[in-house]
Amino acid sequence: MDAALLSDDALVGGMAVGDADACLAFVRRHQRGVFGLASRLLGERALAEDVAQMAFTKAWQNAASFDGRRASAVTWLYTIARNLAIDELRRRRPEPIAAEDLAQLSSERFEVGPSDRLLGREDLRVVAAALEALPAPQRRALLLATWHGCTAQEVADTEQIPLGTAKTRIRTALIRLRSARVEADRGPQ
Amino acid sequence: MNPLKLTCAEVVELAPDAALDLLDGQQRAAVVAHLDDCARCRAEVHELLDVADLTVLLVPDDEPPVGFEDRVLASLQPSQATSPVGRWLMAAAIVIVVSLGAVATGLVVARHPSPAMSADVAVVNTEAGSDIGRVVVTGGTKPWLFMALSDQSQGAYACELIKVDGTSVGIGEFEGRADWSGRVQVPRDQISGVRVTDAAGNTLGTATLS
Repeated sequence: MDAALLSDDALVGGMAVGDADACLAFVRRHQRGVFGLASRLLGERALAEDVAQMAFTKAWQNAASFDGRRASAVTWLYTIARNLAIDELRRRRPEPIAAEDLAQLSSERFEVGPSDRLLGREDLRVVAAALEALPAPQRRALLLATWHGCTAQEVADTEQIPLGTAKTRIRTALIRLRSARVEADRGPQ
Repeated sequence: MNPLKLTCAEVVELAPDAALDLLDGQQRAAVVAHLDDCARCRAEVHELLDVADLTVLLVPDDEPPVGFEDRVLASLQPSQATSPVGRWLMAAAIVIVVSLGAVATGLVVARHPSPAMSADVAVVNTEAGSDIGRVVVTGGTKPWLFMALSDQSQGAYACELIKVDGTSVGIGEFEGRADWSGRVQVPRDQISGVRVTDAAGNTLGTATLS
């Protein structure tokens, strides 16, 4: 049995004590996801590669302070990657989200099956289904906020809608996702 | 200027914005001040934050350029050879995975012989003697603890450290998570075990650490 079979928490623990096998297994498991996130936010593969690499470096540097009681290791890693990508976006000046990216947010299909990090994650399956069921404007508004780190004002500007409408769409979408999750936790009545 | 005081109803209204970090400075300060004292609103914001985090995990994977993995690993510069304690922890974690996935190995407590740093692994047993998980604890004043339970379907559970003086200290509450790790604020030499309880405080299992 090798490190690739260990949980993310165990791998982060291994990284905290400088274990090379744990580093390798952690990077191998999450490189496609972290690169995918950076690539989607930044739109440039070369820049996305730099940011994804920085994300793993930061995770490695901070592994000893990771606390599994606050968040799962994968959420922790993706938060690091997302924040780095958003910092990079803000440094480069606010660029409008490309029209094709916006259209993609409206029609995105969420594949929960094939990726290692998503296997067995029923909560993700529920959230993915709820996202797909949202009206396109709400889904776009929420994904602009969560994936792209847009403020409500930026969502309003991108969508050319009033600020209040943007806030309402984001809030409503998030609350609907939460409700779907609560319903799923309750199980069939 | 007096800080803004918010009611629960106002915080619930702002909770989605708080979860997505969309509040302005004054609102954020007021919400944080309210959450410090209100467990119900804190749970509300955490639930929404959790959902927002899940959406980020749904970003589609993308194959990185050739050589990415090598470049990342080179930049991490982990020790060329796995450190003794690292190797031991990995071994302990592997023991956990193996023994949770199959028949228990019979290992009850193993102590790493390194004089520099030790780590212990112990079985979490129910009162009836059934094996329900493993705990790994390193040495030091703020030990790192790894807990893995074999049955997530137990739902919500809490963990507490049992100290050598007989008192106990809560270290976290969990729901639907089979394993977790983190540092604890009790020195290793004051820890004699770990207890897992259900939401009502009933003991599900105990691990004894030498």
